[in-house]
Amino acid sequence: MEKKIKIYIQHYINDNLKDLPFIARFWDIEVIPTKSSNPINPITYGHFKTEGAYAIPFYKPISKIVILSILNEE
Amino acid sequence: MKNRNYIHLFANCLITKGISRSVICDLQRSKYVLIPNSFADLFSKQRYYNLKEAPRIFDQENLSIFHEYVAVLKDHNFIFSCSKKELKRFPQLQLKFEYPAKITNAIIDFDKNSNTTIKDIIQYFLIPYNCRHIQIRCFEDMDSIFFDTLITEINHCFIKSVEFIIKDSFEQDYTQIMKWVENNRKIKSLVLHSSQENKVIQKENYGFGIVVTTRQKITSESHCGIIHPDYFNITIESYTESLCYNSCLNRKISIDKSGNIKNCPSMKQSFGNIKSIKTLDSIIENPDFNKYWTISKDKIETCMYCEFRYICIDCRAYLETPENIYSKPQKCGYDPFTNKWKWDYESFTK
Ligand code: SF4
Repeated sequence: MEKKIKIYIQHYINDNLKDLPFIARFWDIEVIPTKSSNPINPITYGHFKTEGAYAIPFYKPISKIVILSILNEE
Repeated sequence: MKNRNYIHLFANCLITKGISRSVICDLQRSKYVLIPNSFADLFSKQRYYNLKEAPRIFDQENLSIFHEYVAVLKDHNFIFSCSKKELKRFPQLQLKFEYPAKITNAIIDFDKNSNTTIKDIIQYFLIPYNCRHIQIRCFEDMDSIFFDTLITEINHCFIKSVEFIIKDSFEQDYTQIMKWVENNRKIKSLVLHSSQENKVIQKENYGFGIVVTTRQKITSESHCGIIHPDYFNITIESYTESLCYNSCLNRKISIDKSGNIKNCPSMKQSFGNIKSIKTLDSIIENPDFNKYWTISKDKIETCMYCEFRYICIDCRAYLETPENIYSKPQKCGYDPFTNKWKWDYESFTK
């Protein structure tokens, strides 16, 4: 199924290159399975109408208050 | 077939030499391998080594140990073989830390008496400094309406990720809270402290939506500052930041439960209260505030000898010698001279 979706999108991109950004032919297509069949809400960033498919984590722990080792024991 | 008698470190694999041993950190795959200093020394001038020279340097016994290390490092994809001609094709990684934000992360503590709104905090203290990653902590029970208000504001603003550390008041029925996390996709993690058991309630999904409960009773900010391998962080951003800056406090802002603006909620010094201040401009420029930003691990007593110094997230709030800002973190039980953890934080608290 994932393969089929990928091929479908690749064909769509190839057929609509003029309407898409010039870099579109190099886009990496990743199919993300979701728990339900409802479309997932995009994440909004509140300016320039920006939306994202998934959020981006920070690159390091913000605080060190939780003892993580006791969670690993479970 | 070319004569590939050189071993070369991958560009993302960097060696940190400690007083007694070294580590090679793979900044792309977030892992490290411990190696003897004698092995690290082979790469001290350049990032490759000619295997043909090994028999001249090592005796028979050490030569076989050397080959074992080479095999392990190849297995972990830390090094690869190449010919002399190919050596110049592998440039080094740029190690300058750059990040498009004046403030990169914020800790915001709330309690029932907090007289602050998230909307104002976002507008005055986060947006102008491009601070897009926040952690919200509550040490006492809070109303669920309070969290709904927070997340509604966060969902509609420029924040990219939020972590919650809050008190467990769900009496072991986590269905609602799991749904809440699933529906609010900027939530990276939700830690419910003072809980009845230690449990992963919901696993991560692409790094987000983790829900865990812990028996740990977190009653105040004084529980922070844990130094433990679980908190070692092996990323390009964090490693390069640690080379020149403080790995915890650089470009961090904190607002404690009373609205005081600080480097960290655990620190005493406040630089004003958000009720009276509407900009961080002068605080960021204040040398008393930003003096912590440039305290890299290479300047900190004991840590400067530690092989973990560029992957260990520092703490300046709790120090072995509180009056010395270059003192080793108080909650670290590691001795880089003996390579032993004399104690870890959990046993320390017991
Ligand atoms: S000695 Fe310093 S760098 Fe090493 S683990 Fe402890 S706090 Fe981290």
